[in-house]
Amino acid sequence: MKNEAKNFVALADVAISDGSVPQAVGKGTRTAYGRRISAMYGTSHEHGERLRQQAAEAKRRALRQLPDLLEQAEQTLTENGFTVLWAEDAA
Amino acid sequence: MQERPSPKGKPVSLFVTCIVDMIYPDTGMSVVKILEHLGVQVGFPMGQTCCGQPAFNSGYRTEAKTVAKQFLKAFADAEVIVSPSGSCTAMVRHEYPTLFADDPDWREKAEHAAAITWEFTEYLVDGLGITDLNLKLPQSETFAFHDGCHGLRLLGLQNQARTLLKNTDNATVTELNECDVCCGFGGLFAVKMPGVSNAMLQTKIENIEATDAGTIITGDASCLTQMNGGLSRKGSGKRVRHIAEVLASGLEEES
Repeated sequence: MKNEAKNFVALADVAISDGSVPQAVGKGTRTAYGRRISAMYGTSHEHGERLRQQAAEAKRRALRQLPDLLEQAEQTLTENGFTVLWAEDAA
Repeated sequence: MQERPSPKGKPVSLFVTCIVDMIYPDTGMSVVKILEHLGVQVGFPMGQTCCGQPAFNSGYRTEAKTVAKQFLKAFADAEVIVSPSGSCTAMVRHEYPTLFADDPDWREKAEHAAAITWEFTEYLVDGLGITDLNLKLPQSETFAFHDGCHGLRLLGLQNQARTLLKNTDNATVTELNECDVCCGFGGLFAVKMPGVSNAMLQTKIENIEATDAGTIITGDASCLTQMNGGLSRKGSGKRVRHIAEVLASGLEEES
């Protein structure tokens, strides 16, 4: 089976049944998770909460400017040789 | 973020959610029992349906708006809306204002609904300022908590339910490893990606088996269904229960 997005569900089942893949993903996830917690909350709870607020604000800002940002991304991608296709809606 | 009006001294309209209405009516009854125990007047708008989250999460915004409008009509007279679900509460609180941002006829209604909607434990602890319900469970039991993703990440729910149970007689609260990691349900995710969903569930089940607690508590009936399905198929003696049901079992007339 080709390694393409449309085959994701079937390929995921193959990957899950290969014991080494879940083990590697689990280990990677736990390492990243642990480091994120210590980087955010290691010094103080307030420090972590401030970072969360900052990230939430960055997300809101990006969402407000999303149409412009998407067109910017399209332009840059096209300049780099990609073909950009637009979906009619989110469904 | 908008300042939220205090829910103190106001009647509550129960937003029971689809899954509680159809599969776990006892959870809805438990919410009513706890609120009435506190002397809160509880109403149930009969016109309520789904909040529209399944359609919204799949990208069907127009369809989600149609369903959300029915919710806004059904709860138009509500002063406070309380729901036994972090997920459905987050839909109203976070997504409704965005969904209707460009709709002058509905924007205000959506923002109002968002401002007066509370998840059950959040309403009690943050809204009413109650940390001790003076409850006693019929027998001693050890509990651990699973934090549902939407409640934890969109509403900041974590300590509210723990506080209420810690202050309940006969209840001991212990830790569940990786309690804030997804159980793998994720609504339609479980249907679209059953293999990945099940792999995530198995990790959750291993953590549940490893904890000292015999009962896991959560605030979302959908996570509960996912985890209990996994536990039952494994032949485990442990089960997940909704916080409202466990608290209601500590009411005097119940014991």
